[in-house]
Amino acid sequence: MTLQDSSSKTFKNTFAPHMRNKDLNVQAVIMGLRVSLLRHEDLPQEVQEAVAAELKRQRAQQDHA
Amino acid sequence: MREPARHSMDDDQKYEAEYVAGVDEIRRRGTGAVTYHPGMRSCIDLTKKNERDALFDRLTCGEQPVYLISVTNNEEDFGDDTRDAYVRLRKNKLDVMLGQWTDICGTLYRDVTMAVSGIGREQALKYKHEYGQAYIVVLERNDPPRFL
Repeated sequence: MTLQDSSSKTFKNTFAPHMRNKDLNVQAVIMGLRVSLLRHEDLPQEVQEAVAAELKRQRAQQDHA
Repeated sequence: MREPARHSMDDDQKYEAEYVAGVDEIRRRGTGAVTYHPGMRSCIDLTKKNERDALFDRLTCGEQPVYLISVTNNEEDFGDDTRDAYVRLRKNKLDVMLGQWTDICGTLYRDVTMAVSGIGREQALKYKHEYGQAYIVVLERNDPPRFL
């Protein structure tokens, strides 16, 4: 996965049974982490990696701005 | 339409003190994501139904949905903008919660979030746009949380 497509990847919600959404994309997962409705340690490895890639992309974008 | 609340310097000081107490409590918890509600005077775990129910028992707006809105984007510390937003919302007699996430992917984030209740869907979507967020979260008393 490239940094460019990290923000658009969608995952089946198998890791947050307390959330109503059936699918979650990376932006939603990050929002869930921010508001403490998701825990980083509960995310599958694939999702953790996508979150890391997206945060890296966002940080690079901020540094560039 | 909600009437703008009348307020005084005392309100500013009261709500700033409330904000500082919330930030202190969140920092005391250390790393991880936590949410603090001033009426409960403690951090709450929103992943747990019983803690969400306890929160609704304390909300001044009763059974209305709570909208969780991140007011910062990857800020590295609690900032004046967040404090000012918190005080502004509280002066409008809204229930506001604070949240923080840290130690994600090896990076220390002190990215402050807010959960606002009693604002209605339209206002929540306005805040979402104002703060440049892709998603907000809706908490309702008898339903699991969902992204909006």
